Amino acid sequence: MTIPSEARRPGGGVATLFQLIRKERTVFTVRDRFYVLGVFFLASLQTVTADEAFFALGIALAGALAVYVPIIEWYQGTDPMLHSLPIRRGTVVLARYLLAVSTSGVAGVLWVTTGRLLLPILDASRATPAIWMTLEGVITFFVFVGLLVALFFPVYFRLGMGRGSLVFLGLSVALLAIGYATAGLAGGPARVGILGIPPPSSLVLSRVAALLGSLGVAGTLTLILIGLALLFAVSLKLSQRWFGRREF
Amino acid sequence: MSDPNPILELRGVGKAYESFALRDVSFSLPRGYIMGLIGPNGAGKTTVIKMILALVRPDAGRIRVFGLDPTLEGEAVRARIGFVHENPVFHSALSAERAAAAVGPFYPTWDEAAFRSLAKEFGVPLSGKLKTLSHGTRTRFALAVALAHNADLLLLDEPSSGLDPAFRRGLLDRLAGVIEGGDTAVLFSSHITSDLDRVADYITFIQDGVLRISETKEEVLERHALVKGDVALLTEATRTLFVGIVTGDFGFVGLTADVEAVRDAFDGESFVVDPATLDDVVFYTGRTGPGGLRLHDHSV
Repeated sequence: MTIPSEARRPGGGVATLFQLIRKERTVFTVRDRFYVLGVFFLASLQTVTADEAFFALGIALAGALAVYVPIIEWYQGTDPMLHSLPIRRGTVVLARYLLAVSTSGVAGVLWVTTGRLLLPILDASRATPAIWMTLEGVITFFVFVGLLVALFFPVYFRLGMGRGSLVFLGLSVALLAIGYATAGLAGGPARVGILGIPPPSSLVLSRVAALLGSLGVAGTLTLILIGLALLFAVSLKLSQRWFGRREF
Repeated sequence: MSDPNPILELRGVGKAYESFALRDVSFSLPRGYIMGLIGPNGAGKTTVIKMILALVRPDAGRIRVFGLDPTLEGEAVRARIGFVHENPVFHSALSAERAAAAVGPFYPTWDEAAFRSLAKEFGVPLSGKLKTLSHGTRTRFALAVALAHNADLLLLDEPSSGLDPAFRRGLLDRLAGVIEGGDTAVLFSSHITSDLDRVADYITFIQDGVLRISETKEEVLERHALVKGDVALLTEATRTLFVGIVTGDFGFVGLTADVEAVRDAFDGESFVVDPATLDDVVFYTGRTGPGGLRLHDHSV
């Protein structure tokens, strides 16, 4: 992986970047990790046979892991302390993106593993979540997580956690509405979501399945990765620009 | 202050908020000295400190720390600053030891052994979670972190609040020791003028976002004096000779920055001139508005 120029500048070096990542992992204490994972596993038992809910739970886990430390720092008011350290703001942003990418990977693995373990044990005969435990399901998961992270961070770095969360919530609702409308207009698969209409995830799932059919696994993964990388590049630049202007 | 290369220099610095503005603040701090930054709550002391750290960007003027512009080279500046926030907040779920391990290594000159020694000396339990520690102990922890990386400039925002008198005195002695080598400087804000009396070489007084005084402590004390006399001595003309006046049944007490002018004006009258303390200077200067205009006499 190429280290972005931000991490090579004086004061924003790779050592600082790794130290920041280490700091974030320290802040996310072992006890807190157990809490998050415990809630996830308990919720999995309730949702693993419930189609969209299990998909949404996986997304929620990825989101929780990605934003846990920013939430803790906002709640405890440690921002002034963090930014009084010799760290570039851009490096703070970069570290949070790198962590979000890695924790999203962890969330994906946990989500798939949990689904695969629980589905055979529980009443799998009427369970549709098995469709997520496929390659197209996992790719769809990461597309949604990527969108979530790429949208959340610029808003958070621009407005902070308090106002940023509200704006992000509004944007998410608007995007979901657009997604439902698009899925509805596109005819979508016969499967319906919790609202009784085809959910946007079904539309993406069917498109990914179609891509896999036409481009193959390597072609589809390359296309998706390039798309997500471009999205993250734009999101990262916006976050760094906006965060550089914030005052504490 | 004639040091051509002060460790810290502010020239015409301003910052406007919706309900508060810091205007035209200029002062400099040479190496090897301690400056006390004093002023009432909301005067702008913390804003000044935050601008030095580039946590806040000035709207006007220029700031140089070690000759560098903190808004452009913030990391290089902050690497050489030991900072204690007025309300030191670290990650509360961590022990003092883990919290220090999380932030210390960001400083290129971080000295883990020095931190442990300082924590022990300051009575900070390393295994205790920060959320279980008192405000005073968290301040001690923050001081240990700030002192453990051989900073060239210590920025202490109300460090003595929450500290017991014995520790506070020890801290002041330590600060005096820190600058002995002549390369380090300390800027600390405080409400407690006795602390400044004890160790500050320079006094910078800010009120309502306006710089009222920035001089050596000796200059401040030499220039000011308390004058006591009968209220009848106070005319429209003689009142202008005072920075601030307190009147009462006993007469008046006024702080002047021009003793000779007062002596000339009251020539032949009965009055007393006493040396002013720093507390007097802050108290009476604080009773005047921006630009030295008297807002009102304070009657008792």
